[in-house]
Amino acid sequence: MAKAAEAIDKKPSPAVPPAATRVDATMEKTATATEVVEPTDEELVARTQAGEAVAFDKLVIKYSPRLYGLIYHMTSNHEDTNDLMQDVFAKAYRSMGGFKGRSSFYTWLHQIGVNMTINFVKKRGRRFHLSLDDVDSGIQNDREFLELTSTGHGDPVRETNLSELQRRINEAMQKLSPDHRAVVTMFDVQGMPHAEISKILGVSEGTVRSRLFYAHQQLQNFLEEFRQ
Amino acid sequence: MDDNFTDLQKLLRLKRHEAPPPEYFENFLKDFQARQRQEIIKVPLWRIAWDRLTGSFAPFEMPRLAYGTACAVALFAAAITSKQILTTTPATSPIAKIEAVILPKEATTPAGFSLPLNRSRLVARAVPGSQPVFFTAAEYPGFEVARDRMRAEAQITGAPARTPRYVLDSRPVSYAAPASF
Repeated sequence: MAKAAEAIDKKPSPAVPPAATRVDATMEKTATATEVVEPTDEELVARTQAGEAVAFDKLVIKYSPRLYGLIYHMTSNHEDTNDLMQDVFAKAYRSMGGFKGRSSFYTWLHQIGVNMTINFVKKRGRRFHLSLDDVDSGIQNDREFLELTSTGHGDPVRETNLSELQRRINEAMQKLSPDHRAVVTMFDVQGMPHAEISKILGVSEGTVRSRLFYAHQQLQNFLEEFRQ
Repeated sequence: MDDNFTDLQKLLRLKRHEAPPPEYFENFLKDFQARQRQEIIKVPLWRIAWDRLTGSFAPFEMPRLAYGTACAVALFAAAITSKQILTTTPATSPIAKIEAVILPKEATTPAGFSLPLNRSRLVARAVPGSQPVFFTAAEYPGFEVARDRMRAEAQITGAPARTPRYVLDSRPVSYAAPASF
């Protein structure tokens, strides 16, 4: 138990940087290469608040991939994700006048996204169907995927085709409560630190850790049969 | 999977490879803008007005409950004002007493007269201390009716009873210019 909690405290993987970090690194690299100074979020927010709609378009372009990942991994449905993305950005645009900059725009947008998605998932209940995106070809070169598929003789992951694996993981995720699903999505899939998650959800870091631990236990039980 | 969830976390991280087609994000902004334009057309006027109102108050750092409180106060004030407007004259006033006793009996124009009952004159007549008001013959169709009414007024208001009289001309005869031949 203590060992498991200790494992949760660690960042998802030191070898593979979190998604957000990777995106930032890529953006920095691009900016340096082209010597183009991109406006900061604060500038874009201020321009949007001054009535410049184009500035908000830039924020949409910048954050739609991350927001998509957050919502998609919580709903496991592409169409629902698309609708929710529209709603979240629309609400963010309407509420932009009230954004005071106490948190980053990224955190604020994710707060709106998480809350709207949790409400949607609760309302949807058990009446849902999976509508999964294709797994990109990059997974074949993913070190962790290779590790998982090459460990031991008769490993179930290796013997099961990829789409089946994807379906089982998503089904297991959908068995979690919306609050636990949100934590798993942000920490394990998106690679956010505990502090960031606690800000977005408005709970303490301890709560985030305990939710994570419980969710991992649940997921492990759900996927146990898959392992056998 | 071992007990410390390492393999589980590796499995979950594989979900990062689930992604929409690359053109999805290119088209998303266009879809979003199109939907925004449609919503602007559909938004009711009250919603636009409310958004502008809340937006205008935003710089003042008002707490969220302030809007609700302001609306509640405004509604309460409107209710009080409308109640005062709609409420009739209190039944304890002399005018109301006169109206309650006399008007129901003589609310209609007496037979043979085309002029309606002059309610304002009746009320002015009943108020103690007011200037004397003269009634036309049409308003007091008969001496007995006028007498009864004045007695009723005097009984209710406590004013001394007065004898009704007719005024046939706006100027008393005694004030008429003397005839000179």
